[in-house]
Amino acid sequence: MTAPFAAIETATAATAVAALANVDATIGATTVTGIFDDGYAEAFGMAAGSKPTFTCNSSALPAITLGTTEITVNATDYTIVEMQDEASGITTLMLEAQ
Amino acid sequence: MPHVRQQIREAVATLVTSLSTTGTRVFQSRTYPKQESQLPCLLVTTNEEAIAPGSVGTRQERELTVIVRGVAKSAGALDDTLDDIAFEVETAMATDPDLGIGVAGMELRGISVDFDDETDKPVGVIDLNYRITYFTAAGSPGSIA
Repeated sequence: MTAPFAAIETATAATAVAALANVDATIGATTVTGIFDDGYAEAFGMAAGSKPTFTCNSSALPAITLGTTEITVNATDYTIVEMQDEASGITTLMLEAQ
Repeated sequence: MPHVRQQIREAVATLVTSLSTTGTRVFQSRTYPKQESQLPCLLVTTNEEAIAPGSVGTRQERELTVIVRGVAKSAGALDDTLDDIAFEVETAMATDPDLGIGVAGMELRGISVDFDDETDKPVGVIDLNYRITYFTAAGSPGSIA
């Protein structure tokens, strides 16, 4: 039996992703709905840029090879370089511009 | 006449301008992050300076640390780009050991490299640490003695 709070946490997380989703991304042949964020970021205080991430339900993701698998968001191609899996069933992908 | 520190910084910036990798993207200010269109670039800064009384009269011996910092942002081959920058800077600096203003010595003291992957493409920096030796008369920091 699934622990009651874990079930609530997972359901809540999935609902949150669905409510906040702002984009359909493409990973290979799979379309994944999720939250794309590309806020301002700096490196060393010397180089400006952004920090693109894509957050979605973990169950919606196809197999991913870090550093190789590409994701297309808003017609821009990125490489997935890091995955942060949350116990609640949400995954955040860290993206690298090409 | 500006302080010799400024004269040195400007002379170094001139020496390292128009290199193959960094072109004219040479900055003498360390404020404000650079946009991707301004990279790869060089930042030339004058830093700490040790001053010792000279052996003759009031002449002061000064040892100034100058950092030539290369900054690059790339999804690939970032190490190669940084090493290219070091090669080009070292070669250029060696063409004019007195910087055209009569400094007594210039020595490359070390190179350090660092990376940051917190932005949309990895950013790398390479610091070439130079020690510039020059002399001034006490109270006359604008002229090499």
